[in-house]
Amino acid sequence: MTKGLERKLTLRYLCALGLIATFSITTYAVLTQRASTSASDASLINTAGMQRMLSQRIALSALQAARADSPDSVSAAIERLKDAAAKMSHNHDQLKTLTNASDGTDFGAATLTPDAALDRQITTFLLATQDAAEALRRDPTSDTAVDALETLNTLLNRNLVENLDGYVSALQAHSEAGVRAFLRLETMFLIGGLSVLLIEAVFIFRPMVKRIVQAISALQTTNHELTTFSYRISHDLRAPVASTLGLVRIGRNAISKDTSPLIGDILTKIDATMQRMDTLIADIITVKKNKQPADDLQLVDVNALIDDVFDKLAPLADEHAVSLEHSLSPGETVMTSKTYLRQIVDNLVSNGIKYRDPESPKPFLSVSLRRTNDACDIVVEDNGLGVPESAQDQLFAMFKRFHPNTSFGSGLGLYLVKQNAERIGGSIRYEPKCDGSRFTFSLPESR
Amino acid sequence: MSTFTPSRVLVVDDEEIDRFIASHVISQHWQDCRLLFANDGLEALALLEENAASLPDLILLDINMPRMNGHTFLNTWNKERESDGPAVVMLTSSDQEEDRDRVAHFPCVKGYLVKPVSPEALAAITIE
Repeated sequence: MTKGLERKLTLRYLCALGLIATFSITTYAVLTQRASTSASDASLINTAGMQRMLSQRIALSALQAARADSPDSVSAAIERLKDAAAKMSHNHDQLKTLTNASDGTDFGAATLTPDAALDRQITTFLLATQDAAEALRRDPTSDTAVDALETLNTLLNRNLVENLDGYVSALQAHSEAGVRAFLRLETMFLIGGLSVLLIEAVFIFRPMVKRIVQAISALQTTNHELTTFSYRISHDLRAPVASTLGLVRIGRNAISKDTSPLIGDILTKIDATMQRMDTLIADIITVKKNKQPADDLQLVDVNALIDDVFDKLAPLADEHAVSLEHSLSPGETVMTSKTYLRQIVDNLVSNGIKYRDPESPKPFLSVSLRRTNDACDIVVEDNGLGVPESAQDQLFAMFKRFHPNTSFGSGLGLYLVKQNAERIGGSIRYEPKCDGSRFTFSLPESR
Repeated sequence: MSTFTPSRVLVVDDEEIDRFIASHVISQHWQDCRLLFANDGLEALALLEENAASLPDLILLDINMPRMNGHTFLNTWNKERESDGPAVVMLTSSDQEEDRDRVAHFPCVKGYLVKPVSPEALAAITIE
């Protein structure tokens, strides 16, 4: 179910990403092209404007040459005239080339080739400039020079400046139209982009969210049902076990007076069996309950906690002659959940007693505490049966039992230890010893 | 606090076996004690009404029962009862915190026993 859902959701968001990517790339390409057209328009307008300025500079330079009072001043003015003429000629060629290169489909000003009349006017003006320069060079005061100056002025006055102005205006108007088209396009893309987002929100993201919410809510319902179910099961299982235990105890008390050893023995066995069942149910309930993170963090006196566990398990330890010892000094504290820590220590110690080595002349279990810079380790070790090497990787798994003939256990004890350790932010590890086991529960300490 | 010895005890439990165990353990521990029985909360309410003149000293109350469970019984009866009415001790097979917490706030609830009931558990009941 998860795989299928993941595939469907991935497909949907890939579609959404694809749409956005396609739209972004298209927008980028179109707008970049428009921007480059605008840049070349600006350059054309600039060049055309310069032509107007150069034509006036030519006329001014020619006049300065004619009125100069020294040969040097004449030469300098002629140089300025020639320079301006050369620039004007170059600009004119460039304008024709640039405007001709355009394919005519642009919105920009590049489609506006200088018209034939303007072209002729400029060519004639440039030729007249050459003649004037030549005549001024020879003799600025000669009739030829005066005539050439006259011609230049006439050409200028025959609307060359106005025509150039008109050309610049036409280019500007065209360019402004291009800018307006660019803005329109930008608006279109903005609307398009927003529409794509809206479509994705309605047809892709909303169904996606709906699907995920549905899946989560289905999981929550199942989880709630399972919790209720496990509560019911554990309660309903415990009720007949408790009744049986009650009856057996009444029975044992009743027959002890009649001294019927066989029935007494049978009742003792039933009692033991029912107690195992009770332990199993209690463990299942605890495992289920401890799925939640611990909520009773407090400063726990580890020394007192271990004493408590030892006191509770003393009858079992005495029964199997296991000596319980610990090397903790009073006042050793850790910040943690007392309930969870107690269950950890309780399970490790009772395991140590249950899985003692029957051959050992002096079975023992010891608990010690080690503090490092950033952790507190509680070490529980014994000289018992240990864990077979082949089973060590499954040591903390659910319903695993490694010495089924030695003692009864639900197979949940070490699973619970690991679960609790993780819930309170610690860890548990097993280290094999040549004789017995060593479990280290490590709890990080923030200082 | 002194040793509590009730003269009349009402056992509210739907399980016949559990009523039998309770009656056996009670008569063993409190020899002269008279016993009343109810199958569920509704029967218990009716019985308490009937015996309003001579109420029992103690009610041993199960939680999970058909028709009316222990919680509903406590909610209903708690409104009607006199402040010096009988004490209630829960007797249930559930050892869960939630169940303990749900009854802890009733002033009449003086104890919480997990089945099977034993003479030791009865001896430990103390009523202020």
